[in-house]
Amino acid sequence: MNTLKSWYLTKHSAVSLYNARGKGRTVKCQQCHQREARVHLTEIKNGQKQELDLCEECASHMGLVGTLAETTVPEAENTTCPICGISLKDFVAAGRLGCENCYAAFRDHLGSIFLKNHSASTHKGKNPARMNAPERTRRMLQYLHLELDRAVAREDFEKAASLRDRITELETPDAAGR
Amino acid sequence: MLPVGEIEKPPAWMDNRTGPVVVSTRVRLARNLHGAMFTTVASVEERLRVVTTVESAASAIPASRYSRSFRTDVLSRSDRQALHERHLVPKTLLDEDKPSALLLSQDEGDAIVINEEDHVRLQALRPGLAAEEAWDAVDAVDDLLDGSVEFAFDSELGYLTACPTNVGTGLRVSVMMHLPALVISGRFANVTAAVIQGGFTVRGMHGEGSDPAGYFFQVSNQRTLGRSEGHIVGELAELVAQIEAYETRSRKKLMDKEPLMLKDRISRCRAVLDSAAVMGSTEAIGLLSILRFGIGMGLVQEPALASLDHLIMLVQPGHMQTIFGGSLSETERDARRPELVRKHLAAVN
Ligand SMILES: [Zn+2]
Ligand SMILES: [Zn+2]
Repeated sequence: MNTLKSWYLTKHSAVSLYNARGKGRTVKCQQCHQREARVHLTEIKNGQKQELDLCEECASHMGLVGTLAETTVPEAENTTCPICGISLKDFVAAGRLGCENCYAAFRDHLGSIFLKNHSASTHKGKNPARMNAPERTRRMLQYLHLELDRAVAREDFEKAASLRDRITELETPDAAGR
Repeated sequence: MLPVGEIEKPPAWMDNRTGPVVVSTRVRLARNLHGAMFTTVASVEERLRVVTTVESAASAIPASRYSRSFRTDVLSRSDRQALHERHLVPKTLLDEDKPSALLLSQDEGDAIVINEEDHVRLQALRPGLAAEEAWDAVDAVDDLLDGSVEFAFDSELGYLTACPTNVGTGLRVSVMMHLPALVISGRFANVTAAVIQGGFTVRGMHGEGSDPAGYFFQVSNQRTLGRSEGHIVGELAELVAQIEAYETRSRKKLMDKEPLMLKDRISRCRAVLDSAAVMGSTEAIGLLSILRFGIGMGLVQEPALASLDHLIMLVQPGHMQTIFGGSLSETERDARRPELVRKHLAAVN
């Protein structure tokens, strides 16, 4: 049990969920051998893939449910980031990128991770001040409108009023160039 | 390092706003410096440059709350362990010998971790469910740092992080929950299912890769991309409120159906705490967790929850090492632990 545990709980392991009904197959949990396996565990160690099926209960007892989205990838052509020298293989093994440019270098591969882990592929949050002013204003407005919708939905009218004030302020023409 | 006297004291942010079900909230914001290699590949010189840059940017913040700073890579293993037990540094820094640092506020509620997985991790710890409050705190520091350093940012993907599972907002909100009734009554699997369906995760007490010790669980968001910070914070707070209500209902049911079983469990655990001669760290957390349950149910009057949560911190190995000064073996720690527990429980009674 203990050896199993330390085997699972590394940064390198990936957890995914079966769509139990969708695939029309049932697998027994390899830990308790009783319940239906709903969690699929993949570990990549020295380039070797090891897999394990667990029920939710056993998985949660091990404290590992939902630690990472599925990150197994086909052994594709091994591209390398020209800036930091990390290869796609390195990234798949460690789950970490080497520099900002890796996002461009491994773009094709990362796209599926974004969808699996975040169910999204574009940023909708805050932005740094260094962005050019019109772009920043546009994004800020988009952000404030989202926040406003949320505030209205949960009937937080005080917050909604202050958000509306900020939107009005940004929407006045001379504010855009600030 | 925090002086021993302070390790013995509870972190000042841990106050009586802690609840029987919702223990505390932690928010962290991941950022990297534009133009510097991520810590995955950064050289020692580069890491030092990051430490210096972030430290000086943080000290330039008007009325900065970060009054203390430590180079974590030069601390002893047990000091790092103690900081980890106080939820101040992540597990990955325990073995990191390359330059990394921690900036800390006096009450330990606000921190900046430098050169962990990402160059910068802004962190806020608050008692009870305080996701909005903790987010506001890191958001404000982020705005202030943004004036003096340039963070790695892409207009499509947002803030760029070493691990693509944090990209976008770089925001992770985690709420520590105490869920004994759901586990005892076998309903915990329902929580796990709901949490996962909503795109959230549930982990053990010390985050990724830790054991779910003593019915303590951390619920956090998994998605960091494609939604605003406010959205993430709001959704998680709603989920936590639902789990809290579910745990509270399960506690009532247990009390209605099996009051004797509950009372028996709690008084047995009290008896072990009062008379054991040897006590492992996991065992101690388990026993104190049941005592915490008893307090929440009104079956035990003392101590206050915050004081008990502090004791749960004290019984862990890093704290024991620091308090008893030096290199106790595991066996020696286990022999000293009952005395520590009884002293603490007697002092607050
Ligand atoms: Zn099982
Ligand atoms: Zn790179």
